[in-house]
Amino acid sequence: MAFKVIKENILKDNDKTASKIRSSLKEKKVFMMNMISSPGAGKTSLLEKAGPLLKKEGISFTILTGDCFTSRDAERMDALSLPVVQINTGNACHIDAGLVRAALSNVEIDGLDLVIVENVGNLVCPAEFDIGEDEKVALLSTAEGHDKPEKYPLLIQESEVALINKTDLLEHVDFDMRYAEKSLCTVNPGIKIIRMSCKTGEGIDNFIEWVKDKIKTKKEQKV
Amino acid sequence: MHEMKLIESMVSILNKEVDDVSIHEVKEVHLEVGELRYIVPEIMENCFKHVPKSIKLKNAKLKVMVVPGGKEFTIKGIEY
Repeated sequence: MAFKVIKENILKDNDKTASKIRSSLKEKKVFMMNMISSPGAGKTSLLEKAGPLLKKEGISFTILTGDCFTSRDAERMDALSLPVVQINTGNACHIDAGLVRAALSNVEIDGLDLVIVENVGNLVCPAEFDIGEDEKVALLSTAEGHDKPEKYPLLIQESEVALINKTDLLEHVDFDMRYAEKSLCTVNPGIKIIRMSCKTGEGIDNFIEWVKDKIKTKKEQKV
Repeated sequence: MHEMKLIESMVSILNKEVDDVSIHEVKEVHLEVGELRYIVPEIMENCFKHVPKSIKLKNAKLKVMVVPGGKEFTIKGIEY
């Protein structure tokens, strides 16, 4: 019996594609965010609220929306005249770098400020795959319970910001905001937390400010 | 199910590694996976059994070693 040492990262092809996307967007000074949440937490609702506000701010953006089978989310955004490309992943529970590269080939990148990737609803798998984004955004909601940060630490560790949606439901659900925020900071001490409600609009402006800051920083970066 | 996607990526690397005249049949593949990757080793081992692969890998078993608190996804090597 013999042993051959390999020591190879099995995600190397995905990571190589992600690096190419990252350098291409760096060259064109386009900020890309990868929005990850469980199904029903409010990713599409947030984009429905934030999209028109980003337009009003004069920000040029495109949305890549991931779904296993349907194009319902893309249709919701298209109804608001938001620029959107649908990514169907089939049975895959995440978007990988190859799918993003294919979707971006349908988009005019020149002149864009922002690419928003709405990943497939899942707190586990999307966090594993680098898609060339600048930042991951974790979206949680009060309806899911306050213990999710410790249950899904990889996503929280890799995210720059955590949005806590559905604050309008706080009086109806057993969600302990202090516990959730403490858990987020325990798992990722540097994480920024934004409380919001896509229903009432509370906190959406804070998210827009964060996006504007990130775009500004990207534009100021040296290529 | 991201285990299948990961196994497909792993097999594409292995197919190249076993393209070596001194390797006739691979007995075992050693894979190191970090605990934070939320992998279920049994699902990965089962996916490996069923995914199309080189004839030299046909009877190989996948041995998944979970690293506490880690983020690895590394093929350590093959026994043949």
